Amino acid sequence: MTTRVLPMLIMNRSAEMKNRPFKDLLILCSAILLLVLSPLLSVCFGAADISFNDVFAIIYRLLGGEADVSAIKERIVLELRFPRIILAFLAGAGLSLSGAVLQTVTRNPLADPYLFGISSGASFGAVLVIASVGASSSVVSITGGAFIGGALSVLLVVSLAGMGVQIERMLLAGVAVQFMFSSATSLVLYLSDPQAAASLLFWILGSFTRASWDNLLLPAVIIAFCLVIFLAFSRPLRAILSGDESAKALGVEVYRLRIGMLLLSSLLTATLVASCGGIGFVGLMVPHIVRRILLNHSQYVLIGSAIFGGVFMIWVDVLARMLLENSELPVGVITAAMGSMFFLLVLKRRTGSA
Amino acid sequence: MNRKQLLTVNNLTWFAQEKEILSDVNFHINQGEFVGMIGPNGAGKSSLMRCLYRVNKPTEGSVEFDGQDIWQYSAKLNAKNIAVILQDHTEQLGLTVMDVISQGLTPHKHLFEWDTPEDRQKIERLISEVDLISLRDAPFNQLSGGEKQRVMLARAMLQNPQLLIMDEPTNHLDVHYQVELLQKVKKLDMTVLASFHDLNLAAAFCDSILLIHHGKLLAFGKPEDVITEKNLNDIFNTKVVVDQHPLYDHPRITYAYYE
Repeated sequence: MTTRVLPMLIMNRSAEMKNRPFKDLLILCSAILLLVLSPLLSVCFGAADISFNDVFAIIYRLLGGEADVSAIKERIVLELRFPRIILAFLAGAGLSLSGAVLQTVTRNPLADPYLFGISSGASFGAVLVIASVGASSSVVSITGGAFIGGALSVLLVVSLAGMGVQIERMLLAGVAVQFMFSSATSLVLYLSDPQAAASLLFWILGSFTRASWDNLLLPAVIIAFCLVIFLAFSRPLRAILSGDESAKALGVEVYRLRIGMLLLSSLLTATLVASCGGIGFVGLMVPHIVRRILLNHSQYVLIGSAIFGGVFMIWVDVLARMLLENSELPVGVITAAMGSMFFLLVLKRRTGSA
Repeated sequence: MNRKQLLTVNNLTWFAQEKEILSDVNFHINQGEFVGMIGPNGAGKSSLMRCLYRVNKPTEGSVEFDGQDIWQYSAKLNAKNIAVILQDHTEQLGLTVMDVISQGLTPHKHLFEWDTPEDRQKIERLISEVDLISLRDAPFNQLSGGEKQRVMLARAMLQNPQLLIMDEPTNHLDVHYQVELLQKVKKLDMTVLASFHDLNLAAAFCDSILLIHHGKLLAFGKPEDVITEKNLNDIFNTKVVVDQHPLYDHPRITYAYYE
């Protein structure tokens, strides 16, 4: 028996090796498929009844063809659902990227813009701007406020936990900073008038309802910019994974790189908080899963996290639209529910293996 | 043999938070030499090494590589000159053996410059040189101590330095792996500086030996001149007998356990 199993095992092993390019190709194809199909399918879900045929007809007409669709349906799809889906994609992609980079530079598999207090810092900054200027405040000023809040929380976490990377200290510092900014946000909410407070609250919990074509450009540009920078530095980022001293011996300016990447992560998070509120745990979950599927090549983890994070968020938003009848759930509630379970699982696995 | 000085340490003094850890260390390493560093725990061996690969900045004195202060080189250029194999390896996010080895290319690449097919061929060749073909895609943190050190050796070889620094490379390894690793390094014909716990290994593999105690360089020379009964009795506070190895002509250290 054993004499027969052994050669088979060896054969399997070498077959597996040969299949690796095939596996990579398969992953790439499925990512592209998901990327194309998700927006088209997800646009059919929502309060108004819109079929797949309607969607195709609308797109066909958009491209200059002749098709029969009602004007209301067309407006719903083009003015409401598509911008919303794109914003969801951007949010998922950006938060996942931010999480992937945070996890790398802190070598902390549990790092996440939300757990690090960046989201709550950014929320506080944005809420402060909205509460003091009013609902008319421009996207740029909200984003600016969010960035200052987010960067402040990064600096606080780093100064509390030190530049040396200690997972537990960083997590605790992140939680403390998160509490601090959350309570400050609560205070602003408490002091503002009830109507404003209700809309602010909904936004803090995370939602894509404010999506429109004009406020997609800023997040798209910032995400593309950050992705390019992250890809440029993917090699030094991978070197950091083996420890600071080891990275220094490989010629990486570790502290400078870490601060730069932390600030870019908070820029990403702040931009997204400004446009759709604090959505937690996506940045924790998606890079984890992507690393599990891919073999760990830093630049592919980054691209993969962006694509899968975006697609994931599109479908979470579908859930948010569909779960309650005649009403909408804040997406942040759904991601937090999924994410906290995931967090516990990861924590259990980590303590189990330690 | 008259070979060029690769690394020169001049009057090196280093303070860690007001405390003097290294004082007035002077030595140089010639190209092609295998230099060992010995000394009791806390003597300052690792601190001295960190001064050589730019983690510690000298408080006084200087470290020169090829005639130029290492702090005048860029971080990248330094990493092209000097590769380091550390004692302990931390890794959390599931890098594979392949990933860790390919880190050796870091100082040789610009931003956006990804691995080329030639790079991959070079990596594959190194993987087979250190006998890790079957573990190529295995997660690094699941390897044994000996396998990890072989991965780090392959990474250092990919880094292609002029000087290889190893901080207690044989720590935590079984005897077989200790010898195997050092033989592999020896075969590279590279300039090496390595610290040792095991004095017999130091005596067997090194062309010359640095003896460090309380942050000072007490002796530097051929193994038979440094590893003497007097030096070891004084510094390691253990009774030893030093004679010649029965198979080779380098010193052998035998510890006396009872009075």
